Order: sequence, then structure tokens, then C-alpha cells
Amino acid sequence: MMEHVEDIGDIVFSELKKYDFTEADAFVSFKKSWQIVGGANKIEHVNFRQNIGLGIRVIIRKKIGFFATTVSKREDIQYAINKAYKIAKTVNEDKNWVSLPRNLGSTHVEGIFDKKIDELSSDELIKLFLVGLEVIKTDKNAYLARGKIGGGVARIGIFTSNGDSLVKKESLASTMFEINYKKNGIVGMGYEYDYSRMWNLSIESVAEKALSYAKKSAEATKIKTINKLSVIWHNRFSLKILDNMLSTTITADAVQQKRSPYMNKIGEQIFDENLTIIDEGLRPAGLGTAPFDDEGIPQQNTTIVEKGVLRNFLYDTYTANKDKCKSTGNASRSYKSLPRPSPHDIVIKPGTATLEDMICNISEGILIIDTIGEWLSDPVSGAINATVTLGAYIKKGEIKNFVKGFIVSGNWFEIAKSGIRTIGRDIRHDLGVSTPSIWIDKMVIASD
Amino acid sequence: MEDYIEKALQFLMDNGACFADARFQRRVVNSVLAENKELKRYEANSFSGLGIRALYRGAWGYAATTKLSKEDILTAAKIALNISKNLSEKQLNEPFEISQEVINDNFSLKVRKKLEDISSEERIKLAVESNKLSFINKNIKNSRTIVADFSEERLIMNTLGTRVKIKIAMVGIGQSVVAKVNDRYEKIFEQKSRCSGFEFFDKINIENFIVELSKLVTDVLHARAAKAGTYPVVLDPKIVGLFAHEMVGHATEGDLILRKESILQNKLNMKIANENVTIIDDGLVDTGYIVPYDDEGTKKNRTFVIEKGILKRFLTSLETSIKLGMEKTGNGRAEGIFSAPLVRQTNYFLNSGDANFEEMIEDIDFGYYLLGRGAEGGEVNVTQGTFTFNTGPSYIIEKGEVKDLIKSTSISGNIIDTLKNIELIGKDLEVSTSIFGGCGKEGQLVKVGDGGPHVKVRQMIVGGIE
Repeated sequence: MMEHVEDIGDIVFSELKKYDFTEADAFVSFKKSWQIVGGANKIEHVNFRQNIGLGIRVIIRKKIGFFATTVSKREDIQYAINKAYKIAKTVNEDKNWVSLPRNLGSTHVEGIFDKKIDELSSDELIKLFLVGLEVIKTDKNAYLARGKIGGGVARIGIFTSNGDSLVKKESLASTMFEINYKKNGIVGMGYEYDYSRMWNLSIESVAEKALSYAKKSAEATKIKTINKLSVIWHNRFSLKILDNMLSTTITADAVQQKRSPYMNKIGEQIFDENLTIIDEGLRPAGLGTAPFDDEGIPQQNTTIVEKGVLRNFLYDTYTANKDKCKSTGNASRSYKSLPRPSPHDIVIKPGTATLEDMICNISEGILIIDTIGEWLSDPVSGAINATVTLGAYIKKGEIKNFVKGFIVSGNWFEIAKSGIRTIGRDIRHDLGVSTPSIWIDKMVIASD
Repeated sequence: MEDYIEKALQFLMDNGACFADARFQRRVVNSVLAENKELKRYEANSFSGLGIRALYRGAWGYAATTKLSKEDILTAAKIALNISKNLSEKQLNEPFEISQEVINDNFSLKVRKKLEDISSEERIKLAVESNKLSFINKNIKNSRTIVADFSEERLIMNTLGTRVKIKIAMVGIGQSVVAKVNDRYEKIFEQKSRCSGFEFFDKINIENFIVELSKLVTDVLHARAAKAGTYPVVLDPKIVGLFAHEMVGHATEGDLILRKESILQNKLNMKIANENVTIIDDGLVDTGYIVPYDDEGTKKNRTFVIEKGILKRFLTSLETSIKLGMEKTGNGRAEGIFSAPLVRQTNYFLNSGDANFEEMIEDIDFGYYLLGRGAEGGEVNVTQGTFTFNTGPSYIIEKGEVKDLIKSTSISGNIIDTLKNIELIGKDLEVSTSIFGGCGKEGQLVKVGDGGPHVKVRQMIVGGIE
């Protein structure tokens, strides 16, 4: 009976009858997933997991109580309600609170649930992993250091004391191969990964690409220069930087709380006019696509930056009420947390150049492919620092050799405003962000 | 619960498993966020779940669930066994036998102010009042204060007879502050955490912690960035923690050795650093994260990884210790019940030496004194041997003296080269931990501690924008 999110919603509101409150809602999440973990050229183990979680919000006038729990039996639900109620009794009124959202609804979206993932068995996963492993074993210098294939489904239910009841189903498949490649006594490492809403992972292609990066890595050498150089952010790297620089600073919450460098800049030309950034909540089969957000507001596509001009921030209901505007359908949460605005999928509008076109036009520069530590860059000050583990040295329009072991630094605001030379066409989709490769005028290289 | 688990383990042995273990976890978390002088969010939760693992002819199956009835637990056991049998049919696995010193123990961290006795009011008051202290000048635009705590019980049972119960509690305060002047912004985050009851907050000077951080971020608004290049550096204990953890720690994890991923795999018993370098992984450091037993029920000993410059041991779990033919160091750890244990560090630190701070800086003509306050972490590529971490706001060292403040920067180096470049090691020693973060590996985040004394390194790569 606890198998269905609707049943848990029913129990919550039948138990809540014992309490006196203004409004309440329940966020119920049922997740089930399989994962294969491989290493040392074989499958190491196979995991199966399922998790039922419930987050309860009890509101007494403008006082908000919240408690979350895993659900195994009815008593877990009773306990959580009681806790949420007690916290609501304790806290001060939130003067900005208006009410739970009243305009709940759903938009038609496509390609976000695949029944095949719901019905996966360890059999299929193991077979698929072995296909990837065969590709790697064809090269005797290659070796699978680490690999994963996973598939999972989520059923999310949102139930409110106003009588709303919404359920969404999503699925996600993922894979990653990390390969060591030995050449002339040097061991290189390369990886590739892929996500899909459907059970259609192209394992061979992921394994082949990982192998190709591992080969490049085995050839990579140190560079001796310390200089300002033209750089291309390969889409593997631009994804990580754009996500870091934008995902926490373009929300209405960050702006209202004065921790966003974009505050008071709506309508201003903040970036290069070739830069258009859209938060896509509806793209068919998109990794951030859903019929409604995590508080039941229909998702939408929202233009953040249009030709360099800052147009919008991302809102949930609470922050929208504060600014007296409408939610953009960006509420995000897990059962353990309260809703907050967060991007679905930050998409940089691609240009027309291929990666090769950009390389052709560089007299001296570096293509940054893989890095570590780029996540330590600071979206508030705009300081970008990344240690390059795989790059390519470009001279006179050609890749001369592969390089590694140096730090690239720059300032995001300066780069995004006046340092972008070309935006590529090779868009890559990742969780929460989709970007093409981007040619940047100059960054500082630190090496020994 | 324990009866149900016993029956499930018995079922696994009766049906052909050669080893099985189960982990039950119950965790209660409170997190209070105050932002700009007001309560922003109070989030609390209770989590209970079970993970069960079966080994059949060298193949592992693992199942985890939050459904905890007798039938659900038996179902999870059956799934784990089916997976392992299925895997053993489709892939040739070399069978191996798990051995372990059988342990029956209850470990309960001693606390004075139990977390279950702390009211929501007390948590909220601490967060909001601390937050108000940060607005020391008009440059401070945003301040976020998080007061977080959790209490956790872990029960580990296996078919060899091990029964270990661990009960711990952790508390911490985190402070993030944003300052602005003209169109320039700076942000800094710092935290203080301890495995402790709520009494920890009586022992630390919260006002000082909050105010100093606001002063620092204000100063950084006017600080220069580091100059890109290679320089001699002196690292403070907090940065040495990141340095030890990222540079040496991961590369000594037994699973990465077994998968031939680590650049240190063929260096056992070789001299890889100067004689003054000793690096230790210890589960029981008061100011670190307390790990008396790992998540496989193995006692976590004090492990000397590098002794006097010689690489002596790798960190191991049950499986890796057998496959590598090495001692069990008690480092099989999992984030929670949804994941099988990996080899993880506990409290990883560089042991103290005999140098004074003055000796470290006196012959530096130009270099940096790199500080950990406000540093947020690091990362390593263990195959290539490249590591990186960021620093907090730091200082220039010029002609043997500590001079101007610089903004946070990034540091990088190669493991093999940098270990040899450690010149001087200080007399001081500090180990710390964090409730707010942890160490990420293969999607699992575990709590760790790290630290060391002040250290002088002959040269490291410093990132910069000049």
C-alpha cells in the first residue's frame, strides 16, 4: 500500500485531520534504480535500490513547519506530521509568506519516461556493460579503470490541503567509462559519459570516445609557457564553467538576498551580444524537462539572457510572491528539502562554427578539454580557476600536441562581456546545462 | 530489526552465498538557515534504511531499501543474491574468501548536550543571532548562517558473526558572506564542526568567528590576485589537510590501487618523500570525524601510510585487503545504505615535524603563504598524478616576511614531484572536519577529517590572472 505515492498522500491528509492548520502539502518521492559498477576490466558489483520519501509542510497562518522522513510504515508518516506541526508552532511568522501555490497544473511534455527503464533487470544491465567492455578489450593497451551503467525511475507526487493532487513520472539512464591507456610507459586516462531519458544509451560509442580521450591523455605533456593565450572551451569544459557561473546566481532567491552579481541589472547589456541563454523546462526528452515543477507549477522555457541583455531571473512561488510576479515554474526540491528556485536546463544558444573551424583560426592557443577543480571557481567574484588534465596545444590553426598539468585562470564577467570570440554549434547536453564549445580571446596559463 | 536481519543473512548462507553483510542506518538531521538577519529555512528529517550485500562465487550483489518490514528485508536479501548469482553466470569471477576478526561492540560517542534534547527554538536562535553579527559594515550585502546537526546509528552485521553498533552525533556552524564595492563582489565560506553534542557551540567563540570572516571578505575586496607561476609556498594546517587528502590520500586508496588507477601503485616500500614526511590515517581524532569501525565492521586502526618518507601501506577494505594481500586498515566506508562501501580515508593528516614558522619563510625571496580559511576543497586525477585545490585569501611572502593579502587562488602540482618538494614541517598540528561537506568519490560523499602542521614546499603552481 506504500507502493503508490497517491496512497501516501491519502494517509497524510487523513492523519492531518487531527491537526489545526492553515494549509499543508506533501511531497512524496518513490525512486527505484539499478546500477552496475565496474573496474579492473570487469563488473565489480550490481546495485539495486529503492527509496520512499515524504516531505510534509504544515503552515499555521504565516508560520512554516517542515519535516521529512523515509516511509516504511504509517507511524513514520504520523511522526513526521507531528514534527512538522511542532516546528510550525515554534517558528516566527514569515512576513513574505502568502500561501501555497494556487495555480497548480501540468504542461504536455514528451520523452521523459521510458517504461523499459522501469522494467529493467540486472540481466540487461550486465549484458550492456559487457558490450562496452568488449570495445575496450579490443585494444590491448587499454584497460577499464572504472565504469558505470545505471537506470532509474522516479514517481513524484504533490498533494495539498487545497485538494490539488499531481503525479509525474520520470526516468533516467546513464553511463560512464573511464579508461587507462598505456603508451611508452606512460599511463593516460580518459573518460566519457552519457545521459538519456530513454533506454537507448550508445554504449559502444561512449566506450570508443573514452578510449580516444585516454589515448590523447597518454600523449599529453607539460607546457612550459606562462602566458596569456587564446583558449577554446571544449563543450566538455564549457558545460562545467557555465553551470558553475550561472546555476546559483540567476535565481530570484539569490537576487532578492543580494548574493547575486546580477542584481539590479535586468535590461542591461551584461554579456556579449552573441550570448543568448535560455532555461529550458520543456525541450522534448530534455534532462530538465517535466510537466510541472516540484511545487506543481507548469514548467516553461525562460529567456535569461537575450543577445547579451539580462532579461529574467528564475522564480518559484515564494520568490514570485515577494516580487509580485508569476513563478517561472522553477521550484526544485527533494523530499528532504523545501522548494527553492533552480534552473532546469541552462542552454547556451549555439552558433554556426564547428570546433574545427575555431581551431583553424587560432594562431596560438589551447583547447581545454578536461579539467579538475573547475568547480572551485567562484560565481560571485567571477574568478575562474581550473587545472587542465587534458588540453591540446594549437599552433597555426592545427593541433600540435596534447598537454596537461597547468592552471587556466580568468574572470567570468570580463570573458562573457568582451572575451568571447566565437560560439560553436556543437551543443552538448548534460544534467542542468547544455553548451557548445566556445572560443575565448585570452586566459592566463600558469605552469612550471 | 536485528532479528529480521539475522534471518535474512541466514537465508543468504542457506542459499549459497559465501559471505553477506547488512547495514542498517538511522539518521536524524536538523539544518537551520538564517539569511540576512532572518530565519530562512528550517529543514529536518529522519532517515531509516537497510543495505544488504551478498557474495556468490566472487560476484557481489547489493540491494538497499527504505522499506523495513520483515518481508521487505528478506526481499532485499533475495534481490542481492539473485544479482550476485546472475553476475557469476555472465562473467567469470575469481572466487575469494572474506576473512575478518569477528567483532561484537557498541560504540557510542559521549555527548553532554544530546541533540534530541535541543529545541527548535534553540537552533533557530543560535542561527539568527549569529547571523546578525556579520553585518559589520555597509559592504556586507549578504550573510548566510547554517546551524546543522545530525545523530546517527549504524548497525553492521555479517555472516562471519560481526555485530557492530555505532552511535555518533555531529554539529557545526557554517557562515557564508558576500561583500560588494562598486561592481566588485567577493564571497567567502567558512565553517566549524565537531563530532559532539550541542555543547560544542559553548566551547567556540562564535562572535569572533563571524566577525573575523566579515572583516576578511571586506579586506579581500581591495586585495590583488596572485601572479600566475611557480613559487615556493608555505601552507597552513588547513591547507595541508587538503594537500594531504588530495595529493596523497586518494592515491593510496586500495581500490584505486587494485584497479591500477593510482600513480603510487608500484611505489610500496619506496622512498617517495623526504625523511621528515609521515602521513597517517586515523579513525579516532577528537577534532576530526570519528570512525571507530568502518562500514564493514573492521576496526579502524591508526594507519601509517607514509613513514619517514617511505610509502608503507595502502588503505584497504575487506575485499581489497584480500586481493592486494595487505592488512585490513578499516577503510571500507559508504555514504549510506544506498551504496556499497568503497575504500575511503578517515582523518588523513601529515604528522608534525620540528620547524618553526620563521625558518619556513626566512629564505623566501618571493612566494606565498597559503591559508585554508575560506578554501572549499580540491580534486585529484590519481592516474596522471595531477592534483589541485583552492586556497582561502592568502598572503605574499617577500624577502622573508609575510606581506600583502591576496585573493583566493588555485594551486596545482604533480604528486610524485611535490612529495619530494616538501622541505620543512612545522611543530604544530591541527586536524578538522566539516558537517557541511565531505569527500566525494564515485558519487558517494563521506565525512572525513584532515590536517597537519605548517609546511614549506619548494615549488607549486599558483594560478593567477596576471
